[in-house]
Amino acid sequence: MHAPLAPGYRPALSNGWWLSNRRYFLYMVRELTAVFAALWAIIFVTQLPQITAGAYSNPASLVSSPLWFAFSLVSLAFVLYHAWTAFNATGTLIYLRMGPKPIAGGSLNAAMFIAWALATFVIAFVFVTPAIGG
Amino acid sequence: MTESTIKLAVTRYRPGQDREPTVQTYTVPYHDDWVVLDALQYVKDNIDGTLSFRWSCHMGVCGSCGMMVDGTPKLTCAAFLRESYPREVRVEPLANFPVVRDLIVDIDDFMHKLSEVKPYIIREDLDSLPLGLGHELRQTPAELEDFKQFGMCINCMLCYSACPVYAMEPKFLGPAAIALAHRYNMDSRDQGRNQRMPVIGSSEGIWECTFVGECSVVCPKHVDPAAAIQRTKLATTNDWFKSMLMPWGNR
Ligand code: SF4
Ligand code: FES
Repeated sequence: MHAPLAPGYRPALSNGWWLSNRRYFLYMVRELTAVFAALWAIIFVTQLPQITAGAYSNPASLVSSPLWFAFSLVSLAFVLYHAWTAFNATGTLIYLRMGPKPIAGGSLNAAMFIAWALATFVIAFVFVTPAIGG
Repeated sequence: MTESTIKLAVTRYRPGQDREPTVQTYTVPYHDDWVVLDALQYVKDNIDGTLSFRWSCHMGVCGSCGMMVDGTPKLTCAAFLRESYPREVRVEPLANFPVVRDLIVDIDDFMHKLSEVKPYIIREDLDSLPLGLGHELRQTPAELEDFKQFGMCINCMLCYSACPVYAMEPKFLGPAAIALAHRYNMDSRDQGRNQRMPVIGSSEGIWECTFVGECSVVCPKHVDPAAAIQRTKLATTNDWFKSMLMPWGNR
């Protein structure tokens, strides 16, 4: 075994590393959008008892306030962005080979988007439409 | 006609002499078929023989010439001056590694991690059944396809240099070591997965990774180490579920 080289210095990562290129920045955005998604879900779940008790029509309740509406809109945009990044990573995450050739990552991503669209459709028609009396 | 020139801003560090790294600027001839490594070699041959850097093949194969070029980890034998010209080119040692001298980094940490993941074919049956006539490890082209990409790694460590997780947690096993472990785990001839999993499945292995993905962007050989890491996470999770649902199984 040779003796390890004595290292001279190890430059530290700068605090602004995530601003040094676009992809690092988008990574940070992706991670932050998950925080919004989690926050929205936690608040929603804690408000659920009031909501089932008709809080949406009660002006004094949190969920009928404009602030909550604005926060929900922003969160929705962030969740959509996060879902977009997650579904686009499907082909990276999953490797499937049937026969001699692996299935292209793009096809796996597309399958996720199709499944997403179908799930949205089903939820809208089976749960939401009857709820709003459509 | 006067010859065109380009400026190279090179990080210098002479241990025992410099307290911290400094930047030295050299003016070298500009040729549009020159790569950064050619320019560095010009400096060493004609301007300053003390400038230290590593290289070997000058053809993108040996993986020893990685440096930060204009802030991005690149093989300097494949980074053309024309990508920066007429701006000056900034050349720094690979980020996230201890610097030994000038543009030379200490690669011991990576070498150690590489050996930890046992990047070679492991067979449990070799003692009783040596390889040879009657015992060949055959593989179909389709099975080769399962891991070929991950075997293209040239150990250049550009991926470590691009990884902010490795920068913050030097114990992280890192992209290339995991990609190579995955290469052997996916090899139909290999039986060593159970030996590698404790290392790559540990908290300093795959679970450190937050999927920044820059390792795969900078990789000069399209290895896609980020994919190897995410797929290993999925495989480990599957193993865990299987062991929960079928505790009597093998794993
Ligand atoms: S995975 Fe790519 S960037 Fe990383 S060491 Fe191997 S060849 Fe270099
Ligand atoms: S000198 Fe061998 S890869 Fe650049």
